[in-house]
Amino acid sequence: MTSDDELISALSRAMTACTADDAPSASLVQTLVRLPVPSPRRPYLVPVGAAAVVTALTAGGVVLASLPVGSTVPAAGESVSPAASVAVTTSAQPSPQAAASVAPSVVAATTAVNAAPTPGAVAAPTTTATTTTAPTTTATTTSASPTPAGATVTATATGPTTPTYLTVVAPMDGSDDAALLAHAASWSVTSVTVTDTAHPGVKTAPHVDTYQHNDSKAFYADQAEISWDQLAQLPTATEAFRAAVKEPGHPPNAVEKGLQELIGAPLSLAQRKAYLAVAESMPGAVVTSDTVDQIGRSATRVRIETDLILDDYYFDPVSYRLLESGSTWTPEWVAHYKATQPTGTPDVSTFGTGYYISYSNWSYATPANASAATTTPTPAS
Amino acid sequence: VRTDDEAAFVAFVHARSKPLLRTAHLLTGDRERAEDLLQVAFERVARRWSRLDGDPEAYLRRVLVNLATDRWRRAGRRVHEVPRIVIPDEPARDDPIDQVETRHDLLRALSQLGARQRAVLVLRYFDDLSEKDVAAALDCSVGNVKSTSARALARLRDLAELDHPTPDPARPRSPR
Repeated sequence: MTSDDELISALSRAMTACTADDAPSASLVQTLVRLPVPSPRRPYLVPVGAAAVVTALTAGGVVLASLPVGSTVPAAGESVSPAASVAVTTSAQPSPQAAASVAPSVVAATTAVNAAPTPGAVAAPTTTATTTTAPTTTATTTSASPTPAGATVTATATGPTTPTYLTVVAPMDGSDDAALLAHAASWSVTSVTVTDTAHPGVKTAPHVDTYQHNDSKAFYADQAEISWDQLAQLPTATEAFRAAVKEPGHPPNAVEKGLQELIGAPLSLAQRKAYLAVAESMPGAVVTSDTVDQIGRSATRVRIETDLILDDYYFDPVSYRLLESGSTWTPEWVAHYKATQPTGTPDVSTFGTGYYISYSNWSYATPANASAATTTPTPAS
Repeated sequence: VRTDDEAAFVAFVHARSKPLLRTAHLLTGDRERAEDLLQVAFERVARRWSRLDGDPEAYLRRVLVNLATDRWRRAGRRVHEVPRIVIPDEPARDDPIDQVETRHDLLRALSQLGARQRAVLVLRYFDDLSEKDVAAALDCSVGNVKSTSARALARLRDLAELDHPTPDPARPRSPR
């Protein structure tokens, strides 16, 4: 074997022979095909698929009333006429935590029905769900705290074969987003879109990457699944929180995954504080204090680079809420994988406070001037 | 109800998990660890699936290489971990004995290379990637791939106790 070509040829044959019998185990394949694939659309837009979207008012898991499309979601405790209710059935079940702790609250429900809402139809008082005349893709969202008062439910009824989307127009002030998060986190086919009425094409929903797991777990943190109960019990001390979201034995930067999975979770103030502290102290994290997000809100930015993608997270320095997140693609990534750049610049002046912004797929000229790059929220797809 | 994204991802898993497992096996030198890495890599791809605008396999391979060469992850594992590429005991029919022995030697030598050198050889000569694609996977320049490959082959010869090629006096050496 005198030449490199011969050596390479022999090496290639050896590697092929060595792995000839390799095949992923059945359990691995099963795991892989079940991996959740978050869709940029799913967390924000709800394909209803038919004619009606309703909201329902519940107390203690019992449906008190539901509201037709276009009605205004009342404040908690405000009376609602049961005459507006619609009977619907859901195949989904509320999370144990939500069911156990639910106070009189407003519940937004999306459901597919073939007919317009039937005035006067009242849901059975023993179910937490509403019912539909055609239970195809039915679901109900339940929140442990009230949906923002004054939110308006709108939907377009365009027929049974054309998807329609539920849009909750909610004047969020930052105090009620946990309720919206709880909505979307509980159910797979229901979600909430919070939009600025003056800028309806832009996603401003609370960050929710959610999907219903077969076992009804609420979130993943690294390899572990976190139930609603466990979510509520996550520690508030920084190190304890770090340990909770990190799989034992993994290196420190493995924390990132646990953090990412929990980023949409409705955590308490103290938990969010711990969350931010862990994020800031991650190896490789670059923290910029006293900065602002895309619409000028005071923020602490945590930047983490993985796989040629810069992930930026902007946190409110007081409430520790996630204000904004986005991925910025490095030039290397763009060059190699031809990432497309969005065009146009939304008019950010229409944004108010309390909105969450999500964007992705933005590139910048060089890593050195990344902070000076112009990044703007992506219009919802 | 599966979304288009989910269906595409599942199709990707079915189509590419097997060859990528083989790559992972060679990168890690350990069949079991290869499955672990493959799962982690697929999880990352799944998370970004809807946003990936290029070749998902290229991205996954890049993640795989990162995981296999990541100092943090390797440091978190057994300190004295030795790559264990499983070498077939039985020669294939019509496989001359000397070829089997050479194969043993090469695979043993491959497992003794540094993670990055091993990655270059695996991606270049097993996955048959171009130098440009190897550079993309390793986040380095094409020149770096060439030099790493040359060093890795020379090291492989040493470890496998193979003769080095005789320099061709008519052919000038390329500058370092």
